[in-house]
This record gives sequence, C-alpha cells and structure tokens, in this order.
Amino acid sequence: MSAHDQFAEDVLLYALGSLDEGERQRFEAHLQECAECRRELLNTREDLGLLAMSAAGPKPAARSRERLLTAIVKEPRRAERPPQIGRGWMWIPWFTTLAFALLSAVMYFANLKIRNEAAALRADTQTQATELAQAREMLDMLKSPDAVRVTLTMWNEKPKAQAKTIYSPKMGRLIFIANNLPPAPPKKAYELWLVPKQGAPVAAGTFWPDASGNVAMTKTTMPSGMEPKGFAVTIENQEGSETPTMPIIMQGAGE
Amino acid sequence: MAALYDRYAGIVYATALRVLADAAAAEDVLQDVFMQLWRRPSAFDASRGNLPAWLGVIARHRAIDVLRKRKPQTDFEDVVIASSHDLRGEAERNAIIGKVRAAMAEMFPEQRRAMEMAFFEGLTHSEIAAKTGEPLGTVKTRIRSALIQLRKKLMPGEQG
Repeated sequence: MSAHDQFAEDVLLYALGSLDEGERQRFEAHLQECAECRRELLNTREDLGLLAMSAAGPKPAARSRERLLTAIVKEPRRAERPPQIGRGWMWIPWFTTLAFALLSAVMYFANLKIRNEAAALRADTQTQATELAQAREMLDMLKSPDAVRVTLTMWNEKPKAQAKTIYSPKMGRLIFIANNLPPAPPKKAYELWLVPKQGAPVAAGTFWPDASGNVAMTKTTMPSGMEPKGFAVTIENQEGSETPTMPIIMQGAGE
Repeated sequence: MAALYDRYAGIVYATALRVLADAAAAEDVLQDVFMQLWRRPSAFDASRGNLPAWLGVIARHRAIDVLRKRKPQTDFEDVVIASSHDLRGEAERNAIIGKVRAAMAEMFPEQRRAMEMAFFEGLTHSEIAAKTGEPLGTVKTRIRSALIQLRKKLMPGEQG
C-alpha cells in the first residue's frame, strides 16, 4: 500500500472530524501535495452535506427566527453602535430615529449580501457550465466515430503507429491518443505504462484500437505528483498486468 | 439574512436536532450558525460549494461539538465542498433528499446504522466498533461502502 493509498483511507475520517490531532496534521500536510485527495475530500464533504439534508423535516420554532433577528439588530455587522445620546425623556425620538436607521442599514446589508451571493452563485454556475460544455465538446470530438483522423507523414513514407500522452502530475490526469495501431492479438490488450524517474513502471490502463487503429483514452486517473521519465506500451493479457511484459511496443520520453 | 434563514434554517435545525435529539440545543446551534454567517459573511461564498449542503456539514460539525461539550473544532472558512448537484430550488433539494433517503433505505441495516453512528452521532470508527462489538475493519468497510453506494445513487441520471 502506497503512502497515498493510506491517506486516501483518511479522507472520510478527516471529513467526519474523526482523526486525532497528529493524524489530522499529517493528513493536512498530505492534502497540500495531493490533488486527488483534495478532490476526493470535496466530493466526500458534499456527500455528507447531502446526507445531513436527509434529516430535513423538523422545523425550528418561530421564536428562533425572532431570536436571530433580534440578535442581528443588536449586533449590526457594518453599522457602528450608536453613541449614548441625551438624558431623561429626550432620548426617545432620537432612539426611535436611530433604531429605524439601524434597521434600515441592517436590512440593506442583508439584502446586499443575498444579492451578492446570488450573483456569485450564478456567475460560478455559468463559468462551470461553460467549462464543462467546452470539455465535453472536446471529448466528444476526440471519441466521435466520424472524426477524421489523419496523420501527416513525408510523402514517400507509409503512416506509422503513433501515440501521444499528456500527463499532469498536479491534476493526476492522463490523456492518451494513438493512431495507426494494428489490432491487439487475440485475448491480448495493449497496456500503457508511466515510467517514473524512480521506481517501477505504473500501469495506466489497457486499451484496444478501433477498426481504424485509433485510441483515445481521456479519463485516466493516475496517482498525482509522479515524475515521469517517459511512457511505454506493451502487449499484455486482456485483463491487464501489474508489471510490463517485454518487449516494449512503443515508448517515448518527456518533451 | 431573514431570507437565507427562511430558506435554509430547516436544514440546519433538522441536522442539529438529529445529532442532539434536543430541540433547545438544536435551536442554539441554529442561532450560532446563522450568527457566524452574519458576523463573517465571507465564510461562505459560491466557491465553497452548494450553500444548503455546506450548511448541513457546518450544522453537523457544530452539533457534534456541542454533543461532545467541546469548543468548535472546525472553522467555517476551512470547509469547502464540491458542487455536483443543483440545489438552488426547493424542488431540486427535495428530489435529492428523496434520493438520499432511498439510498439509505436500500442499504443493509448494519451498514446504514454504522453510517448514521459515524455521521449523526459523531462516533469514531473505533467507538462504533466498540459499541457494536464488530471488528474495526468491518466498520470501516461498511461506512466506506455506504458512502460509495450513496454517491453512486446520486450520480446524474440515476433514478431515486
């Protein structure tokens, strides 16, 4: 079990607040370096938030609302507390005016905050929707059966098998695109390997070219933070292998 | 703030009540959560995820702190969650709640119980193991698989 795997088990415990102080500090240090754990933590917290929502049903008593609003009026967020004014009965009209002014300010800022939140939510949703649409469009095109894939070569050369990998150590994501690959032998599969600068090759997934010899793997998740020396492709049994079987069919180093 | 309260107080209160089983204590948590929001409006912005789910997590944490009679352990501003679901409308929220409940109902009773003990009672995995008399590994597996099952059920396109 790798260090990451060990920390991956702590994501749920951390989200539940069940780690002791030492474990919590170690996990938070790991979080700084591990995009995969950060992503999983966000998702786990959302799951737990939805789980919390499942308790919905009981409503608070009306007095709770009064209590909150009274406390808010007593503790304005942005308005200064009123200075002490007047003596005797003279304070009554001043106090009334001030109370109205204060209440108006409170209501104004409350309204402003809600508007800001709504605007931020709308902007955030819009940005995410746009990015998602762009990403989907790109993935759809890469995987589209009708996409015309042409590899340009020198006029007197036959098209050769070619592959391209794009790996982000920070995101822990890998894209692999290949063309002109011959079919894998019966009951065999191609397998992609990330060859790190230190340590053994790490399997990045098995694949089979389509009838035209094309491959597009766009959803491969890898352990984040790995420093690749290069990538390689071997032929393995169709269920995949944990270690590469020689010979290497394709290989390439970082550009 | 009144509008936020009217929309989401039910989530905060119901979560706290489920944890504390005490209406007065749950009302205190409700007051605390909204006062914190009032004092520090920057504690929540859209980048921290869905507001109702975020409030659910915050309410649960605060209620567990009260249950354990300890100072608040979680800073609101440290809690950031994903926004995979559209929870802006009441209809959308009710649909998700229905799916969560359906997923919980489909779990094995011991799996559901372990999940509820961890989340709503704030018990650590070791405490659940001691309470149920089951091995720690079994408890961990149950809770993890319950969460995976829940997530799978909530994936877009899944029917509740």
